[in-house]
Amino acid sequence: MKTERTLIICKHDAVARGLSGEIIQRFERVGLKLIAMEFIAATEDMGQNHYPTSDEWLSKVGNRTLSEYKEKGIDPIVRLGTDDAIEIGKMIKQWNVDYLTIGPVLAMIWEGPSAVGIGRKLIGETVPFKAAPGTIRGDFSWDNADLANAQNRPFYNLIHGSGDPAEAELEIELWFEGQEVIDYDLYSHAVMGYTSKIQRNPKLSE
Amino acid sequence: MKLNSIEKTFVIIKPDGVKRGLVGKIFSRFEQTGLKLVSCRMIKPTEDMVKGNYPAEDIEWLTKMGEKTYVNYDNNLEEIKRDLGTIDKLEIGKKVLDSLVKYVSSGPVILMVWEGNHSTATIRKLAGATDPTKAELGSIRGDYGFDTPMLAVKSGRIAFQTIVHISESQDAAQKEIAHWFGDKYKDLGNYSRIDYTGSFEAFN
Repeated sequence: MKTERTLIICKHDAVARGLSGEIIQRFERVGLKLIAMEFIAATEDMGQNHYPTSDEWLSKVGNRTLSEYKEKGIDPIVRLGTDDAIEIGKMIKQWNVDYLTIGPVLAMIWEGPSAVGIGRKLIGETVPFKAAPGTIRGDFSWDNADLANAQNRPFYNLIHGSGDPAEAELEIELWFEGQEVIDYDLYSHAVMGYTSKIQRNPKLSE
Repeated sequence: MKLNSIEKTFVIIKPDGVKRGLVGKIFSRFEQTGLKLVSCRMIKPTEDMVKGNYPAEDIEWLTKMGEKTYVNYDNNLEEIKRDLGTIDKLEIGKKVLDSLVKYVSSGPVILMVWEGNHSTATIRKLAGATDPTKAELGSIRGDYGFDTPMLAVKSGRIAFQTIVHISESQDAAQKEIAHWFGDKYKDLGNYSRIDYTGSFEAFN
């Protein structure tokens, strides 16, 4: 059976606000299975390795900010001292690393069919202001681009979820290096079609 | 400022809590009370690891475990003999311990250390009485527990499922943290919970 794993991190603002339980509940009730969990103070190295280093990724991130600044009439040279996409990408990466290492975070691996996509759906859009109500970010945050831009910081968006299955495996290797993966049955899976169809209640056929 | 009432409490979410999907609810209850998470790891304990948490060779302790079974059976020796095969308190104590070990090692558990003002008393209150039929509504066991000593015995389990384990005192917490986390223990409590704000200063 095809199953997926995704790395979910309750970032430090979620921990400090006491939202970890709320976040865990959402993953539990949708039927995903928690297979690893650890409270971690990420090192600078872990933070740096968590985000890609390729020029391609950095310029993608930089260009996103450049086009946002253009839209809002912000001069990148005045604000950030450069209009080079890769340089801006590096700056934003560092903001994100700082955010990830600002205090302890709760790292988890959740498993299940389409775990990555389900996770992203529960989390909601990157910018909390745009995230739909009912998603974690939509329900618990109001952060927006104006606030983040004014403070030269990333979006404070409470939670990280892997972007795709390949990224998930890389992140799991980084955050849970060498740790055993725990195998067990979640009781709800007996009626959720995880490994088989629901069993007919034997008493009904008597 | 160093206050004696700021304690660390060791908590285990047992396999029934994990498999029933109660981890988030339990977390939320502690977080809502303003408690601060200091350490947390999910593990699959071995039988030896669970056994090492109890004084498994202590005859007095084992006999006390047997006495608890007597209480659960209202001292009805006939029923005790029928269900447990013996009326010897020490033998019963050993059976209870064996079953406890099987229960806690039957699946994954979440090890946690929570810090807060009188955290041990607070968390023990949140967990509720061990027997879920006696645990108050609003407590973890009162709201989510239904297993009883008698159901456990009748189902061949002996040890009944109590969802969480809470250390009894500061001393017990220290010993249990060392036993369960070993060298993987990391105290990450050096941060501020928003619920702490204003609790360590005068009103102005």
